[in-house]
Amino acid sequence: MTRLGSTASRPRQAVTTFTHLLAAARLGILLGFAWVALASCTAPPARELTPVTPPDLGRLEAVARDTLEAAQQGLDQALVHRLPDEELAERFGDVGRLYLAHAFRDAAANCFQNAAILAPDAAAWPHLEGVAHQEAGRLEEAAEAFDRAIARDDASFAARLRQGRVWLDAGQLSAAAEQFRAVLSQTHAATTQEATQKARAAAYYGLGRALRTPATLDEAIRALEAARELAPDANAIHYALGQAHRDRGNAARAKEFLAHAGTRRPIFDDPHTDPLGALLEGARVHIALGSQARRLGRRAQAFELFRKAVTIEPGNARAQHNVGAMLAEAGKLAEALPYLQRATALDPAATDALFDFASALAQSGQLQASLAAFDAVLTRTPDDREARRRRDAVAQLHTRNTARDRAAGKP
Amino acid sequence: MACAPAPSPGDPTAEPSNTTATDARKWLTDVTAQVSVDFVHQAGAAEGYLLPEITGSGVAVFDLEGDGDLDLYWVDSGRLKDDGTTPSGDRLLRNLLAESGQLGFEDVSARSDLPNRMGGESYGMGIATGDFDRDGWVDLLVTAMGKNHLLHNQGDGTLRDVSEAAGIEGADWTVSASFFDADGDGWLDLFLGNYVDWNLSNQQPCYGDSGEIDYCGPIAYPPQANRLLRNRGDGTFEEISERAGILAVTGPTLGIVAGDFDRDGHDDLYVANDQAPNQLWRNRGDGTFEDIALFAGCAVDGEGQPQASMGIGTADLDRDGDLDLLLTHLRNESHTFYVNDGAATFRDATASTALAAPSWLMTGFGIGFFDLDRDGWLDLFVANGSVKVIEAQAARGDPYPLREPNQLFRNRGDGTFEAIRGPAASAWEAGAVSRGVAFGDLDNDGDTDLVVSNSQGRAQVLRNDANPDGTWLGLRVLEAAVDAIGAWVVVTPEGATRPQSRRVSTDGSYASAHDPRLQIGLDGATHANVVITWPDGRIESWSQLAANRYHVLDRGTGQATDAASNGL
Repeated sequence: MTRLGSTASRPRQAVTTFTHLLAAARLGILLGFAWVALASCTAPPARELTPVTPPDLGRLEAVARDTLEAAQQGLDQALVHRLPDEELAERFGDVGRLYLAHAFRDAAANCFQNAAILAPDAAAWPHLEGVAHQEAGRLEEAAEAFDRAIARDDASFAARLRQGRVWLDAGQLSAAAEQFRAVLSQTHAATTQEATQKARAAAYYGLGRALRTPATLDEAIRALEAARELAPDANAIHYALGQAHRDRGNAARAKEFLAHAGTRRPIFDDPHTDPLGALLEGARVHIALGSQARRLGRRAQAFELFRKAVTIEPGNARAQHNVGAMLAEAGKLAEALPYLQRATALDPAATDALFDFASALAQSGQLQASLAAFDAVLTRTPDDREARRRRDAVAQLHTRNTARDRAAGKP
Repeated sequence: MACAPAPSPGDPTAEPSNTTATDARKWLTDVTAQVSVDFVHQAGAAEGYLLPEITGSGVAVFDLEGDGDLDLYWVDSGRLKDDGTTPSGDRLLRNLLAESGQLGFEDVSARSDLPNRMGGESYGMGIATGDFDRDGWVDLLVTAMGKNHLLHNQGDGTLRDVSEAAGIEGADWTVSASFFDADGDGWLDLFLGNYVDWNLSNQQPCYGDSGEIDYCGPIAYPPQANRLLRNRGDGTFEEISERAGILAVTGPTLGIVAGDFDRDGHDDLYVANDQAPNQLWRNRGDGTFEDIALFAGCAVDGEGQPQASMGIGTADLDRDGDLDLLLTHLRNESHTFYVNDGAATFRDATASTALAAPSWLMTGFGIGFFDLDRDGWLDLFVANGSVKVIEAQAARGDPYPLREPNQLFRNRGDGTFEAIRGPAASAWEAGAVSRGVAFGDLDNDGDTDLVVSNSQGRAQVLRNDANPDGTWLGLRVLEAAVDAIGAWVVVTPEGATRPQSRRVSTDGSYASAHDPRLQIGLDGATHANVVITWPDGRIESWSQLAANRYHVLDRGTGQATDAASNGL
């Protein structure tokens, strides 16, 4: 296993966009760009592109690493061949999308920044640059990028909703409210278009959060109620409503909402980021994202990500386990058991998979097999109290069933 | 002209801030080497991204010898595997100030019975201080993954391990702990904050957002239940977790602080959980507790999402006479400031503090409020360090790419904070992986100094040099010669209209323990009036205490009074 911060993969980085750009700049063939702080530090820039420091791909799965390296090399070639600006913008954008999909946000942001310079009218690039900064926690840079995106396309709900979110996170409540209001004023309440309804729900929710100050509580509650009506499954709204009613002095109403509060926020379509999921390579990243989705209560999305991980790498025990566990949770025991069995076979040390397998066997009535599986869990982790408790319960049931069968004269 | 390196936008050690105070003051000075502190924490970093490696450890400032100066206890983690390395081991450092007049430390670890970090049965975590047997000498609880150690202060400058006899050893993964009087009987009880059920055999592979192998978060493992131990008053403790009701909900706990949040005269507990809702255990006063955090508005963030809470800072920040809360969180979650309305109902007021944006890029652990510049407003220090590999640092080949700068925020006095940057900030922005931070007046000059525990790194001692000429009041609050943990102290500087309130305590931050004495900035005033509400609710007052010195306020030496006459 690679050590933390290992440099074992460093040689791979020799083939990088950065290196090629640097070489190209030195050769003076790079579209006349001067690479301040990279090449000469002397010539004034005709037009500055941002150096793209390639991320350390060494810890990635081979399939993802190969894809990203190929993309980097493709971009290098494009730079060397002096493609037209718009085409080069697309190349930067494509590599940026790949980086962003694989959570290399710094490199992604730099790629999108370059794309935005090369294609000064395209709103996608500053939008995606904003997303990269936002995901990296760089709120100031994100806000600045979304401003540019909105300037290029002021009808973009996604950019405004994201910008509003950035302001909320930065504690700039009135700036946030302004963006959410803009979305609401640009859309029609009467529309039945799903994407618009989702955008309006997200805007009302954001507005409700931005207005949750003592002076504007009533307005906040109205906005949150509107969000709830448009997105009844988004139970995070219940928390915001509960707190707003509490602050309003209505404890009973607050408790009603809090009792149903959850973590699902209203979601909205983002035409620039929604396709990024299709760019993901490798089982592990699907497992990681699936785990995040599961944690956020997005079970369908989590299941799809886990299932895709299994498709990509059937030999990944974790992927098999996650699919099996989710199926078991959904009560689909017959479907779950083969996944769980494969997981335990692929990684005999994975006691959590074995535990879930034992539990699923018990639920499906295979008590003897379940006992054996729980015994295997306890052999490995004798202090697992929950496994022991369940094993004892299964054993009791098994004994009772056996006695009943004997009494009934069954073999 | 030299070529400047390209900035690394993802590297928080290179991140500028726009909320910046950059005058030429020194603020805090790193005097670590000067005072002979050479502790280097070891996390036992081994193959496999083992979860405990990233949790770091804590530090305590306390008066070991009763000589009036603060000594230090640094917790080392040790090693998780028998990998042939030799851990630093825990270190007990005696302050030489009282005898030499100079701040400096001498290693006296060998004289005491400190935990063994070699065997792997006790991987060191945090520390709590309190005089559990009321003999006048401060005792220590050193927490661990594995056996906790209760170190009894023998009164002769040494500590003796009495864990087994006291019945507190346990086998959980305890990170933070708090000595507080849960049942109002005058004896300090003990709350143990336990994290998750991890061991080498259930270690799981976890992946980062890029699909790369990375450290797991706490949700990969079942949380361990916290424990409440009642002090029987005879040197032993009994577990009362179940009957006290604190097993009703569990979470992976990292931070703990006790305080009377609803001002009903009984100490409550706030518990910070990592990626799970936090708990506010309201002390019903009958030996039981109830979790009121969700309704109180301090369980989850403003969107109802559990955050990765690590450290806790608590103080009366808005000077309205109750305890507010500030929680540190993961990168991409701002720290959260909860304002108390006085009845343990909180409002998320992070936005109004200007702390949201500067905290967004950091992973905060230890935290604390203190009056940096003696202007009467509590300032803030946050110890940061990532728990996920930072892409830019890994790409540079950093062997421990979790570094984030610590942050010092000055309270502007209008409810907002500004980050102090500039050349002086190099003292605390060292780019380490910081975890525990403890606060105390190490050089007895009336301001609060800091000690920082850095994971896999050199410890730091930061001397407060922000305003040496400012006036101050130092208070040691005693009840029968023991620090009156839980006493509520209200100080009104002469000429001031709004008093400052402080709780006598040693807990909070992350896995660390603090000076129970109070250092109050008087903003130029030369005298102050003090009113103390003792843990049993009785009130005493002292008038016209002179500035620029410590006063020992023993119970019974003040003027007995009632709440109404003091405007409490």
